Amino acid sequence: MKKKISLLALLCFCLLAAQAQQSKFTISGTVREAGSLEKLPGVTVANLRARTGTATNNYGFYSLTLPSDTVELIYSYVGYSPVKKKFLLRADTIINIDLGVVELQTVEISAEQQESISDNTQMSQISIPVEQIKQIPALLGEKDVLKVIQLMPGVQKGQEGSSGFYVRGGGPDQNLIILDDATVYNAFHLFGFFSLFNGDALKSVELTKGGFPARYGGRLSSVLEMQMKDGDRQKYHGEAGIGLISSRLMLEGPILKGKSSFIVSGRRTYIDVLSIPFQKAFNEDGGIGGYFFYDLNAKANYEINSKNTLYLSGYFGRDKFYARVKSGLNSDDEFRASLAWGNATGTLRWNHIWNSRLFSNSSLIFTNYNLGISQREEFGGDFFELSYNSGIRDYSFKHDFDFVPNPKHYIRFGLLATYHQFRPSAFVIKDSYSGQFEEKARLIEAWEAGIYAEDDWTVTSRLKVNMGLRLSYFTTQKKNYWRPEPRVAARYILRENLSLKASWAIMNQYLHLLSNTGIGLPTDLWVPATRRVSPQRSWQAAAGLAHDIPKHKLMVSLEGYYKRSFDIIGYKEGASFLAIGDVNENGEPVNWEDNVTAGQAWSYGVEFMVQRKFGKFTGWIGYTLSWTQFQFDSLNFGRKFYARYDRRHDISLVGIYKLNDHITLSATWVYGTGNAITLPQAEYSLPIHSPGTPNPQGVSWFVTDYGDKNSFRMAPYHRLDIGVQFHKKLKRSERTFELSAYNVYSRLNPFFYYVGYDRQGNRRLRQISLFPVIPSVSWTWKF
Amino acid sequence: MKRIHSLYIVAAAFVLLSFTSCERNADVDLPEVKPKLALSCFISPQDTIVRAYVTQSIPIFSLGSSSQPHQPVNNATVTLSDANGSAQLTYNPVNGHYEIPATSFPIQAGQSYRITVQLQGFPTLEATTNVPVAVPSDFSVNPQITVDTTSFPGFPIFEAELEHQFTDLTGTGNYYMVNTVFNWTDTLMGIDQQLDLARVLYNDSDRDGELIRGRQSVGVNIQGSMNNVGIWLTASNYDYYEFHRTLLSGNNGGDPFSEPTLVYSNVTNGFGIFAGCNTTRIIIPL
Repeated sequence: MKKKISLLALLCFCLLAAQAQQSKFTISGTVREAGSLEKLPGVTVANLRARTGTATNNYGFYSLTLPSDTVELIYSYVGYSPVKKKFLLRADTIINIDLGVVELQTVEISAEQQESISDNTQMSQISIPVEQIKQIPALLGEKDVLKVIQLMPGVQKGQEGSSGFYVRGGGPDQNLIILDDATVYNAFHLFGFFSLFNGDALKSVELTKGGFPARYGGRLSSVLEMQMKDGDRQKYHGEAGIGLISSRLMLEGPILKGKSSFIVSGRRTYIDVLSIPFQKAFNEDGGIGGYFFYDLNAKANYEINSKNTLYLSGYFGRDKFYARVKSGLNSDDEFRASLAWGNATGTLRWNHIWNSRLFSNSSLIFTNYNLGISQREEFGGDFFELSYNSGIRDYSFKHDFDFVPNPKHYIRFGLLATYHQFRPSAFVIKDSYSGQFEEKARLIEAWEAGIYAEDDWTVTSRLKVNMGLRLSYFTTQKKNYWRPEPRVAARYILRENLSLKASWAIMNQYLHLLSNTGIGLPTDLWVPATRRVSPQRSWQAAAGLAHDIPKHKLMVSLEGYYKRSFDIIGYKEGASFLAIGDVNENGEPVNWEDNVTAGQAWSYGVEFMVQRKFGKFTGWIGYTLSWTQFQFDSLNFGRKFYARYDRRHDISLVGIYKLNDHITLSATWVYGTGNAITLPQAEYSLPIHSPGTPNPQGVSWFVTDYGDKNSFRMAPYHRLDIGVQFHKKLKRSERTFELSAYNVYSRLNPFFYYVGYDRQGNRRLRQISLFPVIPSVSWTWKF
Repeated sequence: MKRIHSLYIVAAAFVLLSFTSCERNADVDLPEVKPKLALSCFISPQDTIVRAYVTQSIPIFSLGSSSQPHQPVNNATVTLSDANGSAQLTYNPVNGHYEIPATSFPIQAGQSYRITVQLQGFPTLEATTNVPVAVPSDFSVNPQITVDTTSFPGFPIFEAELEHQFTDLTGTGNYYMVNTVFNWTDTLMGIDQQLDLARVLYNDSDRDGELIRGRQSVGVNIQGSMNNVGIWLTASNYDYYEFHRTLLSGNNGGDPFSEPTLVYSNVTNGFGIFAGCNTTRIIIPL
């Protein structure tokens, strides 16, 4: 309660402080892209005379309060021509700016104009230009935001080809993936090989690994925030692409010119469509089977007036495996089965500018993830039908305010309330032969809420502090959790373009993901914290140096972090998600809570990154040295062990070189220490205790000795990908033809190991590798 | 049209080839693993013969290590000792274990014991244990038994729901196992047989001194005559419980997604278990 009062006092103080400064005036407005009128987030607005400034928020809004004087503002953003404004500030002023896109290699950016990491309070944050994502070579040519995220320091990939990512030792369940304010629970297609996000409809991608501001909550390890494009308000545009496994189409344009626009982007694979003619030709019984996935992003916006804008956006995606086999003697006899999963999200947002210093965004959010397995068998006029469903559905309300009382303070406050519906399993069985009809469904309901306030406070010209507090709440099954989450981050400028940063944050996570593999299988199950299973919690401290080198357009960062996590969950030894639905030895159903065990984690490491975001040659070098250890009372006999994805060394080299207007070259090379796994080491047999039998020592049991858990290292992983894009400007359009190769030197990285035999009958450690060199080709047409 | 067909062939072949995995011997240094001795020895005051099994582990990746039957080690020196002295167990080649009559070396409740196993080429294997002071005296079973002798004449079917209960011994750190043994006579071979049908483990964490209840559903189809069913309650210690728990939970029916189970051991320089027990039983004639 004391903390709540303190929070209100802080807000009141700031409001009063704003009133007291009568001799100051506020410049506010919106920064948009010239032509499309797309609102631009993160645009730097600097007052060159006083060396103060701000940046636009996610909706392009900015507010800067300055003393009455001559001001010289510069609006700058990577990839856009900077705009300068010089005027005498004598009253509150609204300045809306439209920045024009320019060719990157022609821009000469001065120190003040370029994006600066040394000036920002936020640390442990990475933003990736969407255009760069499209230029980095990808598996089968499928551009993938999450696979680019994996190339960043502090972020590890899981298995070969998988889009799942591990941030600073945290599991994939500890990443909050947000698309236009909506949480995406399963962000993967095709068992984790591709992510839902191909970049066509995205405006910005930002990953926060630590130093979390108070506005973020609900996960322990990272926040991946993606904003969809709004759509061009002036002209109709489109982009079509054909790749090896999928085709995509994006259309955008005005609904009411200058006031309203839409964007629609879709993608679908066609392996099934290509293979059906073959299946029909070769399967005499007419059996067919296949797989496809599709994505659809859609967004529309309407500017009611200069102070109010509405946005409606949604994502719909689905994966489906299906099979149909004719069987039996009757022509009607048939077996059908399908496995399908998908996400749907919807967000309705209202941006409102209350006054030149106060901006708000209100969102109504819906998100749903569902996995369905169905099977129908028809035989001799009877049928058997089984359908299984599991999933999670959220309804949320979010209200965020940006308040800029003066240049020294940037205050954000707001709240989020979410109603969760968990369906761990629901099934229906119909059997016409036996007359059996069974329907079982379990629904768990929960409420999650958070209120927060944070202030980005410029204490002195060198010291800037972001202080915040989030109060989170979760209730389910008559169990309530209230947890305060203080956050603090500071930046101290050591000298021009060089700053020292530090941060500390407490996080809570009220949802758990039951996953044996961690690679994003659709069977991974989200479950809430319960009376028996506590919420996960963590604290993380980080410190580092941020250095801008404008001469070479480089941003350099060096960060160390230490993270402790508590009440994380893992499957007990011998347990698996397949066991859910089983019964125990007492004949009682096995609950997921019986199969999991709680533990703690230690993660620490150092991350180094040199990044160049603009110019002819862009890319980055990332290196991570890290350790991640777990301790569970019920695993490894309570002893500490390394996490499967503990990676001592991780290197990423990414380079994109724009040779000329027609050719772009790109390459990535990654290296990572092998995964820590549990490998069988020896075998023996021993009898167990069996009193009552003539030999009380009973029969012998075969035992495999594994040594300590995760005590064996797989071979290191490394891979080189290259790509070349040929661009050609046509009369009213542009086409890009891309050739790329994944794993150029065909390194046979182990996907998994197993114990097998050679021809002499000796046991050997055998490895399965997934992808040798894989060339791909794609074609994109922009109009 | 021909072009489209060619495109289908190329695309489908490419997709298939692209996803074809490669299998080969792993190019990675394997851990150096040496054979170790493994011991299984449970001692209780109810024993008429004290037994110990000794086997030897085989490194997974040793040459010629295809799945071989693991033979007992027959030339080790197995010594059992307590506060009063020690005794050497002798090898019984018929049953493949080391033994000593309880009359020569009685096992007493509440006493501590130590075992060593010596074999040339191996470090001495060593373990200690305590024998529980008592076993719950109120152990009871509520049986619901069905014996069907008519459905398949000569092949009676035995089915039972066995509810058991007992009061946990006071003081924490008590561990129990209940197992059900079905005794029958094989009329074809003319010999008595026993089947250990089910077992369940308990610990008294969060329920010290409370009533512990459980149920076992068992069933068996035999060719012969049924004699009785015995339900055995064993009181033991953490080592005993953890060894059986980890061993039994590793039996996951080949589920590839289950976490590998590390089998617990309280033996130094080797694998296995040395545990003191105290046992009681209820016999239900059939």
